[in-house]
Amino acid sequence: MTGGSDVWIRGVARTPYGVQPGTDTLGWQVRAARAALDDADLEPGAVDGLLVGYSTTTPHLMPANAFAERLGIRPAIALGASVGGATGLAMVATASALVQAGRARRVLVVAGEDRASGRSRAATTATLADVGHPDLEVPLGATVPAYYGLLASRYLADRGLGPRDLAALAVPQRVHASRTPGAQFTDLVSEADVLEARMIANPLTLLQCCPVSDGGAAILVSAAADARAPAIVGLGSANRHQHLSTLDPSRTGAGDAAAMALGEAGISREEIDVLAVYDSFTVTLAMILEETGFVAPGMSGASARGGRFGLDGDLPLNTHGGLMSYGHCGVAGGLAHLVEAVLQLRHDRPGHQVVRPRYAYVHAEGGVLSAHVALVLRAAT
Amino acid sequence: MTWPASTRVFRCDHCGAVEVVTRAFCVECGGRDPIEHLVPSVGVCLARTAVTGSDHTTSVLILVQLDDGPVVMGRGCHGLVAGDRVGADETRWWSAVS
Repeated sequence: MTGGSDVWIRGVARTPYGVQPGTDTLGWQVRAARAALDDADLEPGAVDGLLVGYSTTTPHLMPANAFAERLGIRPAIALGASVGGATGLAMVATASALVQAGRARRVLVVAGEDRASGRSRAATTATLADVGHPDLEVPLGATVPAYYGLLASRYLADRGLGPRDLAALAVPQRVHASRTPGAQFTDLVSEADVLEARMIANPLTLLQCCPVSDGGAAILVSAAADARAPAIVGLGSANRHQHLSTLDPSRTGAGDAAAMALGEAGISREEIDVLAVYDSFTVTLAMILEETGFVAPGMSGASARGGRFGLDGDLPLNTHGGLMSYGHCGVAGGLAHLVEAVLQLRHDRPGHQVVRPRYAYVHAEGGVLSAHVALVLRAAT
Repeated sequence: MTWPASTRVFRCDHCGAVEVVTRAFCVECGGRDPIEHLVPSVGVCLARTAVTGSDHTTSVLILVQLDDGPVVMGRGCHGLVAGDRVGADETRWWSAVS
């Protein structure tokens, strides 16, 4: 599809994220799906393909079929998906391939769960920790923050940087969240606030870690454009390891996915106007930004401090606040970045709009930088 | 008890790649069934973090690049920092090599 496209994102929705008890997994998924169908101005019966992400609070053998029955649709294609934090973008990439192949014309991608309210914090922590190696890592008492704490320690040591160089990345995201309806955390924070917050997994403090949230998001991928729908013009992905013990920090796969997506779009990094990058922790953001080539090695913190990631910077980044500030409810967490990129490209962010963006780059990872999916979107006008 | 203890690794007969995880095929060259070996649990600390568990005890986790190549995770002494030479006992407890 180099340069051109025959796949568009016709509808998007994300609910508010936060601690919002009273709605279960299917409830969040239905709420997000209805809003995305309304945004696309489509009746539910028009959906002929359905992809639904896993939920940690309500594990199910057939997440898409259970959702289809609850929503009230009978799609020809229904498939559940599980690639950790990359699940949302992996589903959109798969939806795009189904549309391109002519197997479906309107594919609904859905995610949502009550990750904050549906189970105890300890149960969620244990489930997430299982992305680690069952013999070599998990028995040591390692948790997801510990895996990323080790990545952060190695990142700082390898580049000769200090803790403030990661802390700086949390600051501009909070500014973006403060201007985004539905964000979980909207109080502005300084670099000192980030550094002085409770230590979670040294050097990562609480404000450098995403929360767990309740919420949902949905995307309608279509074979037909309308006047405002952004086109999917580039897709890339990479899967080079599962566990931290086999991760190569100089090549996690982030760069491979970016090169593939940008190459397919036929554009350079300099042409990207909106960046939306998975940010489970500050170090996640730094490592992806640097390996994909958007930021020079070791310069992520300095770039944040210098204003590059603000609305008026040259790389507006996670302008909804990202996982760290908008919130993280599992698969929907990573999809919120894509929703934001689409809203920016449609000029649908009144009061927090990037000026005339043409291209957006969206990147998600799952596990411990294990699975990567990248998308390039082009505005309709 | 001998110190340092040994770490189980898998070496590819075809290309010599050494890894800490077992695989059906060598991911570097496609060679079949990398063979189990024991190598000394000695190397350089690459990264260090500390986490507090639900029992409120704090444990130090480290990544170690073994002298034989692969990276392993372990628990260790509180004073360890990236760059230290370290060795482990049979319980995979790592401390500085003096």
